[in-house]
Amino acid sequence: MSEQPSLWWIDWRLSRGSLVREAIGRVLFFCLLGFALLSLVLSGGVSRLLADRYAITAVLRAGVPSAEAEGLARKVAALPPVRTAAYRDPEAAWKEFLRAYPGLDPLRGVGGNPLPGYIEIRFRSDRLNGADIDLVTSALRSVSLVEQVLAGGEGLPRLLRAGRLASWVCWGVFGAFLGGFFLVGRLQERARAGVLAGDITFLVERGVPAGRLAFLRAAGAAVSGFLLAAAGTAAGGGALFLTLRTFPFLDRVIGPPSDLLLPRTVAAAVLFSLGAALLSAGASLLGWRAARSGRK
Amino acid sequence: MEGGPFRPEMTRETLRILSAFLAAVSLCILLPAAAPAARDVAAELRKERGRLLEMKEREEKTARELTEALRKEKRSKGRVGELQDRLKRQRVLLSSIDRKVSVLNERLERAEKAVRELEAAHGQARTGLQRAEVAAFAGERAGAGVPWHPFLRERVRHFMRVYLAAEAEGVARITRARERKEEELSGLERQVAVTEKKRTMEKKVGDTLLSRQGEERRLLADIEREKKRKEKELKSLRAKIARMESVVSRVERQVKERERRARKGAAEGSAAKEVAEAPRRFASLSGGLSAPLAGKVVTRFGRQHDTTFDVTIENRGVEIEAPSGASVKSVGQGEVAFAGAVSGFGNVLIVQHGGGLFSVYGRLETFLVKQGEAVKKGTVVGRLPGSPSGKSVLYLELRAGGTAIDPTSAIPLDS
Amino acid sequence: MIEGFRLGVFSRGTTLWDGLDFTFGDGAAWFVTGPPSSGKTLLLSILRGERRPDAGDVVVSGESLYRGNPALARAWRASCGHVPEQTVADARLTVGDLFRRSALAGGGVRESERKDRTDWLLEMVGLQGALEWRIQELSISERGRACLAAELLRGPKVLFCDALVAGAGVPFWEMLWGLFRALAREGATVVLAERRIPERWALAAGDPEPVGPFRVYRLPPPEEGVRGEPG
Repeated sequence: MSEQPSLWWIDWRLSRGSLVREAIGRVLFFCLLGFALLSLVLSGGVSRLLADRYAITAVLRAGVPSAEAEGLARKVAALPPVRTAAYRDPEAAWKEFLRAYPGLDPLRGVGGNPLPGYIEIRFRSDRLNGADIDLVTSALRSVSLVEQVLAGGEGLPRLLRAGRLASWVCWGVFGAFLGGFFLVGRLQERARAGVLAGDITFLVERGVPAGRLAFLRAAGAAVSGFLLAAAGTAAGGGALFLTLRTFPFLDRVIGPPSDLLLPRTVAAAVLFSLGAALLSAGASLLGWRAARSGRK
Repeated sequence: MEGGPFRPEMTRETLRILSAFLAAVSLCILLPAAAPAARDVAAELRKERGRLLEMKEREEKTARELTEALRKEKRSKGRVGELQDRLKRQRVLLSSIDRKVSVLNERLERAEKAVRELEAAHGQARTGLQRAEVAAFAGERAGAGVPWHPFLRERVRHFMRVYLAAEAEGVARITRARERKEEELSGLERQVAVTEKKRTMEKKVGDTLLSRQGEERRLLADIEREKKRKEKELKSLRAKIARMESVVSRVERQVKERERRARKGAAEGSAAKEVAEAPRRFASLSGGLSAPLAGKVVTRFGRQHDTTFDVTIENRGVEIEAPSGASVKSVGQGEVAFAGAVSGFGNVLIVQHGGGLFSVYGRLETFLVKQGEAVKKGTVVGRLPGSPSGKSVLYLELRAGGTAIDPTSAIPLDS
Repeated sequence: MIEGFRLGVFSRGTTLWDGLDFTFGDGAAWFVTGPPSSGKTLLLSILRGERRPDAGDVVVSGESLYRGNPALARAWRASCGHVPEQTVADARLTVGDLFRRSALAGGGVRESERKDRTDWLLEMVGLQGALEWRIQELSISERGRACLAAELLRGPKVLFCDALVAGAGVPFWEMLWGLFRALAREGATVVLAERRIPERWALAAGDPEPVGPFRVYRLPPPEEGVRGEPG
């Protein structure tokens, strides 16, 4: 009996050309997916965009001293879901009002400024949800200095739903691409398995266990999938970094470039690579099965 | 003739007249068989007495008229004084009304000015509000605020609502102030009208008072003139009466002297007259005396102080209150010496009891006996008049020797 | 030694053969002939351990191939060489790929060793310099010889060849004759399945043993000489 054959990277040994082409394609694909993934992780779907556009206005009672109002703003800013809480005095409110309605400027002197000061509260992108908004609004409403809290009213649930939907759509699209990668990978694996069917059959006939072949092929696909995904994601991350540096207005939609180096971002990339490894292994196994069952 | 308290002047004069009358009657009765000379004197006496009586009646009437004039004068003076006070108050009232009208006019002017100012302010405020609404609408159409930040738009929309509310409140405030001022103005105008009307009314009242006062003064002047005339007339009458009484007194003295001589002659040899010398006191009158009727003495004999007129009068008799229409009886045996009307006493009946004793019954309505008729004690000689109150008053006088005595001392009367 | 006991095959709705007993000793070349569609290729696949017989068993060196340890069966297959009657003409395959593939199956063959032996083997089978030739462009004889050379790269203990001789052609019978006898001398066992045996080989093998529809010839080893062949 001959000794146990070494079957690692058997595909590479049997069919290098197609493997290289596939690898290049996968790297580019992972680059794009990595770009999309990191964008989604930074932006939280549309959470960052929504958080940039959403604000709660706590309209204060008339005659509240600035010192008290600023003190209240500081307390609100200390709430966990709150990103910023800024106090605007009545004069600032009046200027903002006039910018929105310029035709009122000549009428100013008639009765003075009837507008009170207010506090503008903006949320963290990852805490923009109904429960946290209710927490902040109920806290504000319990304060005697606050006359009214403008939190979006009936449009807010729709907005949050739309935001969630948009996030789901974004992640769904991402998932669809990932699923597409899986399907394409499976087809590629099946094609390769089909191409290598003769070789595989040859080896099986020569006593090489088919299961071992499949396992080692899948393991090889997992390792190559992880490495390719990691490389692609790193490249995508680099592209995202350059894009954010080049177009700073995207900060409000996606996030600052510095967030790319945050542990959670790196963790997301690693998880993605692991997921890609699993998908590659799965695609290899399913492709092998499909090729083998087709052969049979 | 009604009963009641005596008027002092009339009472004194009436008593004097009655006394004179009684004296005259006594003389006439006591000396019926006078000689022709005596008859001439008696006739003269009668004639003088009649004239005296007449004069005294006139005096009494004049005195009554004077009293009436005095009363009227007092009343008129009172009215004049009252009118004077009222006029004084009226002038004060008018003066205060004038001041009030002046104050109201000033307030009215100020209120009108305030209303004009508020109307102007209201117009300005309304214009401002309309412009604000137009600006709000235009802003909405143009997408007020940042279009891509709906929550900032919510804020500026809230500001617009606050602004419009403030403007509307301003307009409402001015409107309310204007309405209050207009209401105040209407109130002031009404007050002015009412006050003017009151002033006119009070002025009319004042004018009326003035004219009434003039009338009262004229009336008072007339009364005073009347009073002076009556006083003068009374004075003249009294003088005449005094002269007449002096004449009557002289004649009476003459009659008495004759009578004395006649008695002296009769006692010396002529048949006793049927008229025996009466006792000189009522207590010794034959058969005694009895009350003329059942009643209550309401006016006593002698000096009495009249609290109404604040004078002291001399009553020569008593007044006895009894039921209307009561029968009057003779207090003792005697003869009716006189039955007729006497000024101030109405129908008077005089009964001669002899010895210079007379009983006089005044204020009778009817006589039931005739002059010269003999009566006994208790004989019904007359009746009291009827009265709406059911009570009438009998005047009773007792005279002894020409002097009035207290009837209650001689007759048991219920006082 | 390869022994087949009471082998039976049911194929295409009919019993092809049943109750056949075979014995192929080590160090010899065996020639199994039979008419077309008699089941020669089936027999080889059964003896290789690739296809389970419908009846009977195959025992190799005392171990049952189909009723024993499956690992032993895989090890048996790994130690066998097989030259099929038809090579799947994969468009991309070259002669070098056959050797690479064989080297994978053989394991433990270093790259440098493989290259040396590859050239020698190709020369031996008359295909020198044919490493980069595509299989598709080879003739049947060349394909068979290329497969034979690729199988010999691993140094199999047992070599099964199906219609190799007929496919290789008369010019190469001599080479094959010498090769098989040399393999037998080295202790390998060669089992050939052909329609008919070359006459000269039949003379050398002597009378065949009839086994069912087959005739089993034993080609004598070189030390035995060949009957009819001058010393």
